Amino acid sequence: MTLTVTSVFGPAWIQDLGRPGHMHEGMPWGGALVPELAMAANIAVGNPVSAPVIEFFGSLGVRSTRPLAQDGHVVDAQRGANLRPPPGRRVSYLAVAGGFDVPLCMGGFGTFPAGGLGGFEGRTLGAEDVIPLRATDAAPGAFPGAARGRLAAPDFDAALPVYPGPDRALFDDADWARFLGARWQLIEPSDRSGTRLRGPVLQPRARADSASAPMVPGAVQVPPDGQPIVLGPDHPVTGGYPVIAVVARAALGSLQGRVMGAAVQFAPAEDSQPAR
Amino acid sequence: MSDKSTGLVWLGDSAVTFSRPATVAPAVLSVWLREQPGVLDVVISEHRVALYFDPRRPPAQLEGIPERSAQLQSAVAAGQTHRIAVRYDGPDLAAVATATGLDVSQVIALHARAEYQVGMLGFMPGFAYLQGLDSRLVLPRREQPRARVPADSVAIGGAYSAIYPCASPGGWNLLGTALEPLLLTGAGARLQLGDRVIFEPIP
Repeated sequence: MTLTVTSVFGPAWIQDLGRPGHMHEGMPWGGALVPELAMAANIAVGNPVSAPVIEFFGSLGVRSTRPLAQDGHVVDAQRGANLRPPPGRRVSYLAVAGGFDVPLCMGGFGTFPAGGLGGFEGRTLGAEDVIPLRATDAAPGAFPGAARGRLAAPDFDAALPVYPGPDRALFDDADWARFLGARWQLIEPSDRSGTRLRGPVLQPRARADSASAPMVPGAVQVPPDGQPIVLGPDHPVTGGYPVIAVVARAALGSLQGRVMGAAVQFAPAEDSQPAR
Repeated sequence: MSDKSTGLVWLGDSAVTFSRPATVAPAVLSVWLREQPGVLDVVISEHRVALYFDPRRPPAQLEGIPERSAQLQSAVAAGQTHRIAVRYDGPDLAAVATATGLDVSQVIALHARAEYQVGMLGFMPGFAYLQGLDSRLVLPRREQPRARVPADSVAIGGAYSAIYPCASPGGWNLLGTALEPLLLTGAGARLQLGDRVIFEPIP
């Protein structure tokens, strides 16, 4: 049993909920930009939430006799369906009952295009690709990817809770106030390694230790142009730019699903001591 | 956000960092930290260590981990030795020779003669920072980074040498091409912390 890609415009690739456990080898966790929607799509077709799905940005034509779901909604594609993310959203997810039968790679099914690893042949999907599917009677737990996150669809307009970053002290209080008060705009070239924002110019003092340090998804880096980049699932595991703040893990889907040009605002996280 | 009493610096709600204990071999540190309950991942950079966890299930006794890790005994780290054939055909050989006041054959000899050790992994999957570069080859990065460095390029940058596992932008000086590399596969990275690398020049 297969799913055929009949047309594709913009990137489209297999993703899941990520591959923890390989950052010490330089491999980021990866995983869906909006894990809540990937899970919702899987649930709508009866899959484990961590089953591999297609993450797509432009339009995606598919044909399959199996039940399909886009985000949380069932789609009939027996005679073919042409899908695109809903208005106001950059990305969408397609799940198929049974899940895509792609090999496990470093503990995950997701594509890491820069390395040509994972997913379907390690690459973006193209028209005429025929992707094999797993049997629908696969036992629960057949997809050993890590289930995480919650299922409520993200609020794509909400202010994003942030914690002060490890380099907060390099920014004066006026810069911190600008960071929290600004209405940032999400701009190109945002991708799976990071989401770029445009707004007031932030001016950190130089770091005493300029060596690269470990990074995390959600870290808000400020490069020399003063315009923040929020690291995404495929971020380099180390980086050298000052980190003014870190977005709460559960809020990353809300940021990463927004369309180019969308507004982004930050707010101090309510629990000032994370994970306590 | 930092806690002076423990040395922990929070990276949001799903990671903490602390100073890398100088007396512990990074390979030993990496293995021990990954064995701690609740720790999902570890990154060790030149001066820092980071632990990653589920925000809803942080490791127990997180505050004690920096001190306990600094007391680890280092004797265990054996590591593998990798012999990697290199064709010295890099586009920056001549520029490196000029900048160092050596001729190209000396640059190649100095680079190939050293025995390297993997000091950290980062930048991209499988990218190993190799310590042991001859001090005469220590140069700053290129002023203009290349938009695309081919996979398997053997390069030097600052005090390190490295092999690019994947094509990527990069600012290091390119000396050659690794043959039979397979630095990154579905099983993981070939070069691990503490491993040794010997380059074998192929004419």
